[in-house]
Amino acid sequence: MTATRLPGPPRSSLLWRVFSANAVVLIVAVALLAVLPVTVSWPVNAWELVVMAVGLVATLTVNLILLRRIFTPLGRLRDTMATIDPLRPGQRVDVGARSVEVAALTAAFNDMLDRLEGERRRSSRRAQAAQEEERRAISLELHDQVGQNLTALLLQLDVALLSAEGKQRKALQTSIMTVRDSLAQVRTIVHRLRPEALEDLGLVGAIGHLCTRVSRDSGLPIERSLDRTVPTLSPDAQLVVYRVTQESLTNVVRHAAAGAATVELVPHRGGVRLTIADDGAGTARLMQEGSGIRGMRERALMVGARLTVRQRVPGGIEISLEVPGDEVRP
Amino acid sequence: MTHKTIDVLVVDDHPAVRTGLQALINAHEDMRAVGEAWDEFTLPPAIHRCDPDVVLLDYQLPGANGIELCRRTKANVMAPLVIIYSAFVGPAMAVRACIAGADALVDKGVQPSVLATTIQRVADGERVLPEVTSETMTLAGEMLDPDDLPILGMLVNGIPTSDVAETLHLDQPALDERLDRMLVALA
Repeated sequence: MTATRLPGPPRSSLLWRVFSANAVVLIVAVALLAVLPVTVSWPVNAWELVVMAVGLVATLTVNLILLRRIFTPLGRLRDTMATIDPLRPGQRVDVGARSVEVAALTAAFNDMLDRLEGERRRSSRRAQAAQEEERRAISLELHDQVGQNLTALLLQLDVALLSAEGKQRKALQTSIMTVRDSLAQVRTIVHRLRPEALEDLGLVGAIGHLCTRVSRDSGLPIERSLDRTVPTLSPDAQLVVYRVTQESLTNVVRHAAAGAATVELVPHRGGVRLTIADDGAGTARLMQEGSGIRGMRERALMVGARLTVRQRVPGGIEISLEVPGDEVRP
Repeated sequence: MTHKTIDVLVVDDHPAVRTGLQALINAHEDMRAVGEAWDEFTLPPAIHRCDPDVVLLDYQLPGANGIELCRRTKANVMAPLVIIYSAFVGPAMAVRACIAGADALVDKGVQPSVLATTIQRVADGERVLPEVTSETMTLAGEMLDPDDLPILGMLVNGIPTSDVAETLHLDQPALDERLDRMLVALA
């Protein structure tokens, strides 16, 4: 809560400030009344009425101006509160409050943001861990059960094919094709579910491998510029960078109708910056609304990373993820 | 060796896959399945009992994986030829297979006929390992002790371990220790 304790004039309570403003106005009014040659006769005449009306308007105006100055920070606080975006953490309110109450309110609000962001980060991390564990379990089961059975089936069909003739041979060949396709599908799903390359090759290697695979499967040329000197991130942050790359490339392949894509990973302010760009037809507005971006933002949040989506000129989308230095493994 | 029947030992933890592999092997005239094993405990006795020419070794096994078992098998004198058979043949796996002394690395997704051909090629003395790209070598190099890099370079280029030991003036136990250390660093 550093933002609210600003150096400056000493603070006083809101009540006292309103009271002093009013008091100042009244004292000045009375003093003017005493020193100026104005009098009120009875019954009041027209000229005196005009003077009194002018005096009253002047008093009220000065009062209004003073009170407005006092209450402006409250209005600013409300406006800032209204623009806080839960998916862009790190925003804090600083309204230059002079009164104790507004300062306290600002501090309490900032404190609440701290706690909410902290809790959100922790719960996202838990969610990611649970999700990864689930994916690992599913991929293992897929590989060990379905995959192995399909492998066995394929082997048996192949043996049967050796002694088959005529129509039977044709049918067996079709079956073999189907089983091979299914096996390939299972393997693709297993690969997608489990970034085992991350454990094998480290982040840079895994991203390189991912690009190669996506490129091979989709035919999309992907230009890579992966700096090997990037600092080693925490396992959670590595997973975030990997999944954001995976998700972005999947989006490019599925929706962008792009001719090419680039993936860049560089050291950035003690952490790393990942940039994925394409030259396709997607627009930043469309992407903002897509749930894929939301999911990536939520992933980014849990390691305190910033995800930005930008429209490129002449066409295409650029997604960039900045992971801060405090996610670097010591 | 083509005139002689190739004796193959099948190692897989999945019974149906073992049956399928044995059927496939026996369907070829020049080879036969001489036995089976399914983990680190059943493999050594099976090798001792069946004395196979080729061990067809699944990578994903409970406990020690195929790479580790290959390394252990190859550490013996008169070790059989070893083909590692894996659903995940990635670049990192190729490097580890090289270090473990595998004679071939086969993707489980290939056609069964390719597997049979590989068994024949390996029995003829060929090495059937995927090419290790320079990118993978760089990555592996970063994970290894700089002293071990010459060993990796020689193994990737197909130089037998005995020659590697001689070139580097190491005795076999010292080289074995280095190989184990490299596998641990890359695991």
